[in-house]
Amino acid sequence: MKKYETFATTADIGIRFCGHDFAELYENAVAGLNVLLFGKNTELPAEKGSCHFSFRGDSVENILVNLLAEVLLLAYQKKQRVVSMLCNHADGCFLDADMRLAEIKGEPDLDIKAVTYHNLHVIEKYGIKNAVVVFDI
Amino acid sequence: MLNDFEKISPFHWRLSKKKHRAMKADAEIFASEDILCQALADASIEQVINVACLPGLAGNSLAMPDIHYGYGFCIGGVAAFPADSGLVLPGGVGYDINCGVRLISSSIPVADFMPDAENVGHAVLQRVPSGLTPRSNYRFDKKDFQKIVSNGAGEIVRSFSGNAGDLVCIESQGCLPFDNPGVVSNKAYERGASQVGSLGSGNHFIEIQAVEEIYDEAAARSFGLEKDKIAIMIHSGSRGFGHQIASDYIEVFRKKNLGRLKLKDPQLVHAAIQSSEGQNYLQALNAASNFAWANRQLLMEDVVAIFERIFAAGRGKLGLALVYDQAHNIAKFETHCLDGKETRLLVHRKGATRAFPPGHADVPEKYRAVG
Repeated sequence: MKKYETFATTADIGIRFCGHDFAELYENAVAGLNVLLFGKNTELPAEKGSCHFSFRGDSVENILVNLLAEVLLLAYQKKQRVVSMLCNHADGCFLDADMRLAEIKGEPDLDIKAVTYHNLHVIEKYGIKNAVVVFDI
Repeated sequence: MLNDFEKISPFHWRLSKKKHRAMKADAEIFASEDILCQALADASIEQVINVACLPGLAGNSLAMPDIHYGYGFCIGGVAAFPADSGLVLPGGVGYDINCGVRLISSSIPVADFMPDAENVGHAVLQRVPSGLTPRSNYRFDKKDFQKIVSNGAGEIVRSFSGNAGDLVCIESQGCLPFDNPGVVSNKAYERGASQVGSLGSGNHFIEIQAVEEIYDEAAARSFGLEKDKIAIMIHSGSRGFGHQIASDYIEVFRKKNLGRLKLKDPQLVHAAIQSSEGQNYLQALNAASNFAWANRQLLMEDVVAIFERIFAAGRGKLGLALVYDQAHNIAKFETHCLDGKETRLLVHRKGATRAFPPGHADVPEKYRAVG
């Protein structure tokens, strides 16, 4: 099973991703969004700095929306790409993580404007958590 | 499911609330049978039904002919709530607050324009940032940006010596009341400040069009549109500013209602209009609306400047004038007749526009005879 994959419809773009645990789910969500923003085969830029992300939410869906919104903000406003994310603590209501960052040269490949809750439900099947996130473009 | 609909006319269908246990109001679709069938196939009718299940709806849950699947509300959805006791839904407006369209007429014959069409196209691409070049050529400091989100299109008319007459041809004169900067997050200000004067991406565009056929002579004359003349259309919204405000308030409403609301679709999260969260969202929505009107005004000024340069004539001589600017993602207070009583309502329109008949007070005087 793929850790993540991207999809596009006429009006939306999104990612499907999964994880054996919450930490892997969040990490794969960020990795999937990175593919939308920067393409799949781009060489990973050298790390330059880091940031801390801590969010207590009402649900895993709530955490995913806020985590991915933070990645978008870093990309478009701060011109930074999340190269890797290390979860210090991850469960269905709380995520505490350190993000390693790299500077973006130029612009991301896509203009993603918002992370939506549209059809967003994390479903566990055979011990694996699966989710789909749709982005407004 | 088509059989569940009552055909009121060939373009008007009603689904009675009796057909669905959770519906509190009827669903009304303004569409041909073909469009209705498409809407049934893409699940947008389900979204109209979800809105009809919300408490306190004034009238019915409506969908216009452009009905298609959206986030929470369908695109083309319209829903109104009583101003004193109803709900406000960010999902009923959409992420791109006050996304809208403006049309500019001209007296330039198509034949005179065509030799310079490529020059104009290149000049527009060069001057107006679009797509993945989100940053505008204009720089507004915090104080000036505050003026833009407070005063809307009027601020651009004043700052760029535009035509003050344009303002009467903009819905709500291009400005809704906003006097509480604290309701907008720093993230939204940060995203918006660098984007005034940029077009955006997705389905947003600046189009140079040709008037090929006139269907209603009187209306066309009133709008200043002539056969075989050039017209310009601009479609854009509130850019990252509006998207951030929508995202922020979906989170605020979500937190406020946690565990209390049982929603079929989390994008339909809402608050009472009179609650502090509802009031703050409506203020922030007005700021985003003003941003969008100012932005379309500035985009128009850029295009007018290009035409003036290439055709070596002023806007008056080129007949460049705003026909109208209309929002299609907005929530506004309006007074409507409901059950025979004048009632103040908050009307949500998502991918839908208002349309007034001849003589209506909200139609600019110069168009009032045609509506």
